[in-house]
Parts: sequence; C-alpha cells; structure tokens
Amino acid sequence: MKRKKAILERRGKEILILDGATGTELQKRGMPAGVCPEAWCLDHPAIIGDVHREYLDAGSAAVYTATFGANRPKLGEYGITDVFEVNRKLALLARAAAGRDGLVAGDVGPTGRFIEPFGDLPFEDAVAVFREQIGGLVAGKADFIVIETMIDIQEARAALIAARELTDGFVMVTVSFERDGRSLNGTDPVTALTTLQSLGADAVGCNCSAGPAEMAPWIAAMKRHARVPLVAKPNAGMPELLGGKTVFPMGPEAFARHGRELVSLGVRFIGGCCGSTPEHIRALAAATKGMEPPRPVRTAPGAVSSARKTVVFEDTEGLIVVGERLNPTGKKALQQELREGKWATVRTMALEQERQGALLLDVNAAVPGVDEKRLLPEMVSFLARTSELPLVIDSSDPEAIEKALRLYPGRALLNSISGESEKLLKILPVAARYGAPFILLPLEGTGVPETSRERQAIVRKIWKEARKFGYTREDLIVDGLVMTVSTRPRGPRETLETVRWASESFRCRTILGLSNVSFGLPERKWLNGAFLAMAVERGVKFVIANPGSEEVMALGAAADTLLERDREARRYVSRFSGTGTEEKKPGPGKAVSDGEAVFSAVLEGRGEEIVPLLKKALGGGIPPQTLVEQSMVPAISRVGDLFEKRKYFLPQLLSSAETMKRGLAFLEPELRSAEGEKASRGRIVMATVEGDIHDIGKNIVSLLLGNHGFDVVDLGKDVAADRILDEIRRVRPVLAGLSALMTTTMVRMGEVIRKAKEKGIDCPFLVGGAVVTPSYAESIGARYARDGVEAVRVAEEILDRQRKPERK
Amino acid sequence: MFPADPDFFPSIPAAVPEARVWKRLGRRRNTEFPGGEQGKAIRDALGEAFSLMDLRGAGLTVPILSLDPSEIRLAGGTVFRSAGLARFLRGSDALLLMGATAGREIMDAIGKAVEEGRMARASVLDAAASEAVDGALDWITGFYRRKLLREMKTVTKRRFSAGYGDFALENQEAIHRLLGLGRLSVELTESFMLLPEKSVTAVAGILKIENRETSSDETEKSHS
Repeated sequence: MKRKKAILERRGKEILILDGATGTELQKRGMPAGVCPEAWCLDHPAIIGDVHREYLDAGSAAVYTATFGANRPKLGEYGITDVFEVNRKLALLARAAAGRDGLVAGDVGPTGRFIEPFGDLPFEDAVAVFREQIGGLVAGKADFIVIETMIDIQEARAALIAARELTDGFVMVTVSFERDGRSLNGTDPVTALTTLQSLGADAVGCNCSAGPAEMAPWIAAMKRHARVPLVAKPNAGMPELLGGKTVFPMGPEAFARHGRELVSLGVRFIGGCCGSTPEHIRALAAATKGMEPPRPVRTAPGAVSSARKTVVFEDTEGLIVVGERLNPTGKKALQQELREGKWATVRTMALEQERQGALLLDVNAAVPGVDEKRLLPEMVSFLARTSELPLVIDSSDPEAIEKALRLYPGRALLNSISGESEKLLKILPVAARYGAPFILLPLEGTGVPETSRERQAIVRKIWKEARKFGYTREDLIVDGLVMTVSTRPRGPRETLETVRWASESFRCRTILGLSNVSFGLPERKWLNGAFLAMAVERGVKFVIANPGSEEVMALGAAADTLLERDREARRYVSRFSGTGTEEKKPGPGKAVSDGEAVFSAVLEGRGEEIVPLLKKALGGGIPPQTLVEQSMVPAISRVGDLFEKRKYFLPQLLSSAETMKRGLAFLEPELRSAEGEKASRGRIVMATVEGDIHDIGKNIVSLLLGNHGFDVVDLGKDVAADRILDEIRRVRPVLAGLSALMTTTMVRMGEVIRKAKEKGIDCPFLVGGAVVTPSYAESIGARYARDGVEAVRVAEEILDRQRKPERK
Repeated sequence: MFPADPDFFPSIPAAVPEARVWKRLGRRRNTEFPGGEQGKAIRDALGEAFSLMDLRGAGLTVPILSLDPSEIRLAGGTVFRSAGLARFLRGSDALLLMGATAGREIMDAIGKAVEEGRMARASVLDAAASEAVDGALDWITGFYRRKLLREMKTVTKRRFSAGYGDFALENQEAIHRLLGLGRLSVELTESFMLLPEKSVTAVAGILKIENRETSSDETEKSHS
C-alpha cells in the first residue's frame, strides 16, 4: 500500500479524479446478466483491463478494483470460496492496467447482510469477512482501500476496523444516502463523518444513490466538521422514466458542471457511480482541472454520535444533560432484570430520559455477580437499537470498555479516564483506537484531591498522555469532581473552581455528576439546583443527572437564559409556554363555576379531574341531570364541532370522550336515583364483519355513541352475519353499525344487509371503514359515516326519524 | 433456483416521523397540538408506541416468467391472477415480494388500551403502528432499490397488495409462504388476514434501467 501522504500529494495540488461505473462498462463489452461479475472479470482479464485503462485515459488518477462484491457472503452465492485469491488477482489486474502512474483503489462493497446490533451477522464475523477481502487486496498491491456504497454505518465500521487492523495505509469510506439525506439505516452525513473519521478513516464521503446535485448539501454539511478530505462519487442523476425507459438522465457536461460545485463545496476526491461513463469522467477531469483542493479543518469540533444522531457540542446551546438512570448501582429491580437478561426497564429508562430532554445516555453495567465484559456490550447493543441518543460508556474495566466501544455503531463518550497510571496506560490506547472522546477524571488513586490546584495538575498530566494519541481539547471533558457537601463543606467550592479553571484557563469542556453534592442531606433537590446554577455560571457544559428532575431541568434552563447561553430565551420560552386550548379558561381574577369546570374538563379531556369536579358540583347542589345536560353534553358537542373543523384531532376527541364516559359512569347511580331508571336513547348493535380483525374504528364509534346516550351492544370483530342478525332480533336496536377495513371484507357488509332483508329484519344499517365510500354504502342500502362524530349525527338523525311518527 | 430463500430483516430501523402519525390521526395545519396533561399523554403514547414496536420484515425478488393481461406466472411456479396487478407490473421482468410486521407487543398494548377504555391512547398506538409498518415497507423497497442499482435495475415507487382491486386476498397465502413470514412469527388466519394485525405484505415491480446514449448537445434535467 502507498503511504498516506503519497495519496494526498498525488498530482500536487490537483483534485484527485476517481473512476466511473464499472458494471455497465462490462455489460457493454459482453458481460451477461446474472453472472458473478468478479468471476467473469477473472475469466476475461483483457476486458476489465480495458475498462480500467479507458478510465485512466479519460482522466482518472485512480481506478477501483472490480471487487465490489468480492466478499465471502456474495461470492458464496456463486459457489466461490477462494475469496483472498479472487481479490488478489483482480487487484493485480487493476495494478497492471494502472501502470506506474495510476493508483489502484482496493474496492470493498457491502455484504448484503445486516450486522449486529441491527442484524443477525455477528459483528466480529463481519470484521472477519472484510479482513479476508482486504487481505487479498493488499496482497494484490492496491495503493489504498475504498469502502463504498455502505447503507449501514455498522457495516462501514466493521470494514474500516478490518482495514485498520491490516494496514496503516490510506482508507477511504463512502456511504450511500437516500433522497432524504439519510442512509437506509437512518445515518445522516454528519453522523457518518463523525463516526468514521474518529474511527480512523482517512477520507469520508458519499457515493451512489443520488446525483451530484443531491449530494451538494450533504457535502456542505460534512465540510464544517471534517478533519479528513471529503469524497463524492455520484450517479449520473437519479433514474427517471424518459421515453418509456428508465434511464440515468445526466450527461457528461451537466455532470461535470455539478462536479465543479462539489469541489468548491469541499470535495477532494471525485468520480462517478451508476450511470457514469468514461465520457463523464473525461468531462469531470477537464472541468475540475486547476481547482484548488479544499483544506479540511485542522480540528473537528467535539461531537459524539449514535447510528442516527450526532451531538455536536459547540452547536448545542446551553447545558447538555447526560441521563444517569441506566446505572444498576443501588437499583435492585434493574439489577435483577439484567441478571435475567430482560430489557424492559432499560428500554423504559432510556426512552423516558430521551423524552425528558437528556441528550446523551450514561450506561453502566456494574451488576454484582454479572460479568461486565459480557453485560456492557449487550446493554450497548440493545440501546443502540432502542434510542437515538449517543451513549456514554461508564466503566473502568478496560476489556469491557473495548468490547463496548468496538461494538457501538457510533462515537461514544467514555466515562472516564483517571490519572491512575495503570488504568491510564491501559484505557487511553483503547479509547484512542476507537476514536472515543473521554471524561477526564482528576483522580490518581492516592485519595481524592481536595483542592482545585491538585486536580488541575492531574488534568495536565492526563492531557499530556492523551496528546500522544492524537487527542485534542475538543475530545476531552474535565470532570469537576463533585464531593458531598455534608462531609466536605469546602468541596463544592473546589469543584466550582475546577470548572472555572478548566473552562476559562485550560479551555476545555467540563462535566459534573450533580447529585453527589447533596448526598445524605434532606430535600436534596434544592442543593442540586443551587449547585447547578452556580456551576453554569462557571461554564459547566454537561451534567450527569436525572432528566426527570424538574428542578434540574428547569433551573438549568433558567441559568442558561440568565447567562446568555440561550439566545433570545428561545429554549426557556419553548419549555414553559403551554400551547393547550385556552377556550373557556377564565381570565385573571374570574371565578369558575362548578358547571364551567366540568365543561372545561370534558372539553380538554382531563379525565383524572372529572370525578372530583363532579363530586364538588354535586356537593354544591347542582343536580346530576343539570351537569349532564348543561355542562357535559354541550362540552362533548363542542368537541365534535372542533373535530369537524379540524381544530381537534382524533386523540383529543377521544380524550374528551373518555372523560365524558368516566363522568357519566360516576353519575349513573345519581341519575338512576333521580330518574328511576337509566335514561337511554336506544340500543345500537355494533360489529366488525366476518373475516376482518381490524376493529379500532368500530371501538371509537362505540365510545362516542355511548357518550351520546346510546346503549351500545358491541359484538366485537370477525362476527358472522347470522350472529349479527340474531342479536338484532334479540335487542331490537334503533340502528346496527358495521365496520370493515379492507375491500375484501367490505363486501361482507352487503351480505349482512342482504340477509337481513331476506329474513324480514327491518333495521337501519350504518357502515364505515377505511375503504368504505358513501356510494358503496348507498349501493348496499346503508347509511355512511366518515368518522365517529358523523356516526353520532347519523344515529341521532335515524332516531329522530323513527320517533317522528310516534309524535304525530 | 426458485423458490429462493427470502432476505430477513430482523430489526428494521425505519424512521417514522411524528408528523405522519399525527396526520393519520387527523391533525391538520390549523390543528393546535394540545398542551398540558392531555398533550403530554398523547406524546407519551407515541413515545411508548415506538418503544413497543419490533419492526421486522422479509423480501424476495422473483423473476416473472410470463405476464399476460390477467395472469402473472413466476419462477418457481407461483401464479397470480389479477388484471390490476398485471397492469401494474407492465415493463417489469421481476417482482419484489415484501412483508413487514410491527410485532405482537404493540398489538397487546393496543388491545389492553381498548379493554381499559383508553381509546385516545389506543388510537395513537394504532396509528403509530400503521405508519411504522408502512415505513418498514418503504425501507425494504429502499434496500432492494439500492441493491439492484448496481445491476442497473430499480423498484417501482408504488406497491400493490393482496386484497386490492382484483388481486384476491387469498394470494396472501402464497406471499406468506414465499416470504417465510412464519419465521417472523406472522401467521395467516383462515380468512387470509395476517396476525399480528399490524403486519402487511406487498408486491412491487422491478424495472431495468437502460444505458443512456450521451450526446454533446444534451440539456440538463431538472432535479428539484
């Protein structure tokens, strides 16, 4: 392999032009569909040589070996097992074509399998697959390795780790992003860059799946964070239907024009992918000739990533809360679950913390009696699938740390590295190998350093070591070392001074494990809150805390606002401004009557409040019937109006309906005693027809009908016609409601109605469901309702019509 | 060669934008999102829905041996009889069968919410699961689109499902079998419904991408 510098200095200051599509060139030269391209190339060495040479002649400085699918799983589909040799030979063919001037890129494509934690291929097996292929490419004298067309960041990581473990040569990684700017597995360009450049990629970028125009914003987004050169290998546009044929629409000149734009945005290596030809490359080389290669930024901003999200520290205003709850210390139930291999609590804790505003999740696997080396990677794997938040690996066991960092499909933060020599020398190289930033804990094993000055000395010592591994200040976060105020009264002041020094003088970010400060004291939240506000003033950026603590989150937001860490107080305002319905809320100083309070509770779907409010109203002397007629029914009617006007959506309608139902259930005994018997507007039979098991719509309609005084006889789902008709005969309803979700089951509604007519059952039918239309309803002799609110209206209309003759 | 083994996707990372779920539940531009406890309960239900789902799927590409106006004969012997599907597949030389499920846990949660009369919660869980399985099919389509591009092929944007038009629901039996959906714990009822309920299957066409003859006086296509 060529030395890294030799790749970057190739052709002086020029942009390095890569090749274009190979598969279509081989097809043009006779490669039939359905064959193994790698085997076909080995059988036709002159043809692949021609393709390489044509690209070199067109201006490519480097050609990719024809080894895109030359990995064990892919070659195995064709019964080929000698993976190393296939790669070596194809690399040698490219080498021969490239001669002394051309560069050979050992091409590594995806396996087509999904890898742990997102798939069933164990991560180490994936690394072994790529090691085998890359070994062949290196033996075949490839100048550098290119890992391309990756849709899964974990597969890209596996290939990159394999490459790094085999060679210190130049390794380029390109990911395929879809039109929405994310890879199929949800990784965005900045996240891919953050993960891959920290793991040791020498150039990162995108290829395939999009044309050069679509790639421009992705390249622009990556450029700000890239400390490595960027790569683009776009398709010749996006496939389009032109003249009855699906084609790649972009010709060489347009392709080259867009190529110039990509270079001006920051691309150093550029070529073409699907649909591109030697003509595209020729035009591209001409268009970019003489353009200055852009320089990467010297130091990438501090950032951590998961598979789907990056948290860039400098872009994140204010305090970053690291959720602390995924720590089994002192949590017996969580310990037990982890011992039993259950994940329900871990999942709940992760998602709750995410919803509560944590931006990172601390994960600790120190469970007594459980091997941390096994459990920590398992937790990391589970959380990588469960939460989008980047993880903070909380361990002091070098082996457990290595396993977790190796497996995690992102760039995790390591918590922590202290100054204890033995651990420092063991953990620092591991963290560096996986590009993990770390929390620097100013401890040395000879007891807790009491003063800030002692802590500063330890910070400097660890920093000196870390620099040897290529770390920058962006990659480390100094822990202020929080001591309990009850045992060390001066402790908090020393911690705050450490934070101030690290932020202002040492110029790196800081973190506090907040709740330690109040240990052993009552009403800890006040101490935690006050300490947090003081620390924010000293510049602290991270706290490890429970984001479910209102005090921490609220005081953190307030402190950020007061110290200009929240521009225009936007986050503060957004946190505390309600957006709920203001309707019927009294103005300042205006008293709310009991009836109005009941009205509001139904209108706003406040189910928990309805019974106490009704009790109060009854206690105040309002008769139950009055509450129903003058507060609850008007409220639910208003809800119906708001729903029809699209001011409410379904969950609001249903929250109000549930509140109404709860209220009516509470009032029912009172209403009975007042009226002698339960008032009902009539019975309605409801059923989802035979063959159909989707009944949520029917359940919603039943709830709303019940709230409007109808007695609903709900027969459930998948109900045979005869049973529906028997029930109609038995209960003599004012109406029967039928639902079906699918076109195939919708016809059963017609069958029920036809049978009813045959049997002389005179009952109106109401039908509804996703595919049911008014005209279909009419055709089978039924009424139609679009939704629950309309169903109530139709039921009332039918009831009204049935009663009219009685009145005459 | 056929029947070939399907690809299984044990953990589909399809992202379901919240907005799509709210839209499915009837939220429009002028619908103010509720605040207070109600808004929190609705949002919490959605968060929980995502945590309860276990999106898994399978896909299989099958060559089309013959495509008549109302009959599609596939490699391996499967025959679909549907004029609608035949029209949909015009121009395709293979089709993509796909299936996805949101798993049992979300269905249990929906059932429990209905049982408890918590219909607001049930509606959110239900809508989220529906969007998620749709998203899973989008993801599977994307996976094959990506995979086939190197062979100069692509997958149709639209999908066709059993139970749609004259493509009888009974065909779900063949699709279930070819995709090996039993391996994903998806069962087929006697009336050809899939269980758990939030499970779907679909068919898409596979189209060839032609080589474009380039010329010097080309005009650039718009890619907005």
